[in-house]
Amino acid sequence: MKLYAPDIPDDPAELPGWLERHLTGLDLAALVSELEAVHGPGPEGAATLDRVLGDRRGEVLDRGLAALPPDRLRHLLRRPRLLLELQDLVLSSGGDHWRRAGAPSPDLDAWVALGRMRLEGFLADEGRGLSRREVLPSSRPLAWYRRPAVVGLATAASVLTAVILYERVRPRGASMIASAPAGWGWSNPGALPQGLPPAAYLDRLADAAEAWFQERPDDALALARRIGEFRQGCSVLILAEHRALAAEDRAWLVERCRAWAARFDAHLAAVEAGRDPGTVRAEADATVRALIEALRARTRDLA
Amino acid sequence: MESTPHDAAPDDEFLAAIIARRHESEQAMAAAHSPMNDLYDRHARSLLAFLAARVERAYVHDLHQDVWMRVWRHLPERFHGGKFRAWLFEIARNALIDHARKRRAEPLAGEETLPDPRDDRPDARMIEQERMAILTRCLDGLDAVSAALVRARLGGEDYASICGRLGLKPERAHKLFHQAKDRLKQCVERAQS
Repeated sequence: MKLYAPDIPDDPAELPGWLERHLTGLDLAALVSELEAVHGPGPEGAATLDRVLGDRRGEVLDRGLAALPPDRLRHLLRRPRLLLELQDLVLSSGGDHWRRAGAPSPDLDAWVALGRMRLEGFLADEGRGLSRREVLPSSRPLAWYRRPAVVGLATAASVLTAVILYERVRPRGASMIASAPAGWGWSNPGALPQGLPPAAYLDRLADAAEAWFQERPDDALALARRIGEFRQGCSVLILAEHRALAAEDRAWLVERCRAWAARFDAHLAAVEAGRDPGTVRAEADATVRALIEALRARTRDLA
Repeated sequence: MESTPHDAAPDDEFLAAIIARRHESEQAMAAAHSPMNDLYDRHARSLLAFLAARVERAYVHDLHQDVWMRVWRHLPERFHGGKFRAWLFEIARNALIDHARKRRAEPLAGEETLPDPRDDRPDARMIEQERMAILTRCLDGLDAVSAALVRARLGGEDYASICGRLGLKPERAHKLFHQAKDRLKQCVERAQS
């Protein structure tokens, strides 16, 4: 867990720029929580953002935090939740200064690139007329994530995400893994069998999930890879047709898979944040056991 | 529709107006893609920073995509001029509210007893509880002078004022603060291992 608040600049003249980089970056929540650990939440009736900015509000929006006197900047540090309000204000209403205020951020660049790829895929489907029904006011458009171009791009995006995440955790000198994760669990080609009754189909999905326990990674890198591979299996389930299932069961499965995928994203984030791999693996074990039980329970309901 | 100078980049509202007319014809639909990409390029970074401060990282990317989908879907009938960026962030705030409501309404079948790695309260997502708890414990482990120095520096107080108040020489104050920083970082690392 990296600390941000202790890196506050020694030179008071650098404080506005330092705060601006946090307001425009990805770590403001962490900074706010650290400052709140130091200063507490503040007394009831503490000054609002409007009172802190006062007559300098317009200047702050145009020129940045250098327009604020030092005592008001200090007030923001001691009432750190005001920084969240300030971020909302400057990002939604600030001038060009705030567009230039951000520091270089590979993480932010990666997210922007990934989002653009998905957007382009969606717009490409629009252009091919696959969602012509969106042109008609009474039609419901096909959910964007089910469109063929987006299905392919989503799978590619998952691989790209896995590669980017792996690049962040791999030791120096390790060769880059450019290929897709190994096909186990739900990524195994035989994991989604055709021609089975619904109960048996879900039972096979539960069996496939049991593969999680076949390897027990001990270090952060191996665990991150294992989690990423299982997580990609979630994408396979979310995007598959599940012809063996009725519409209601299909909708249930996709909804649950999205929730399980979010849990695995959280487990991966925990590994990357430096939490003990053994602890995170135990938490991931619990998630897998719970999803297997959910699938088995649904199987019993259908039998 | 606002016209633009010949050699200036079109403003957000001009681009939004093109997107808003996409239903008029197939050509209008095709012409709407580039402005949509341009708006994305202009505002994605700010929007991601805004979302990252308010939800767990695991949700930021999907929520970001959800916001741009809402922009595309609702621009024709719900953007009535004014500043596009302000409207975009209003959409983002609404998406955050919907996300929080959905998280509260969806206990997972057979998984209610699991300790959720993500706290369910929006303000707790913003304020990282674990980070706060660890840092608070580590601050409590500092001696009184170092703790006072850390609180003063992280409150934006400059060294001249701190030294006058705590009776320290500047060199000593600098050294103590940087030692305290190192101890805090080591303490946090130990707490996580």
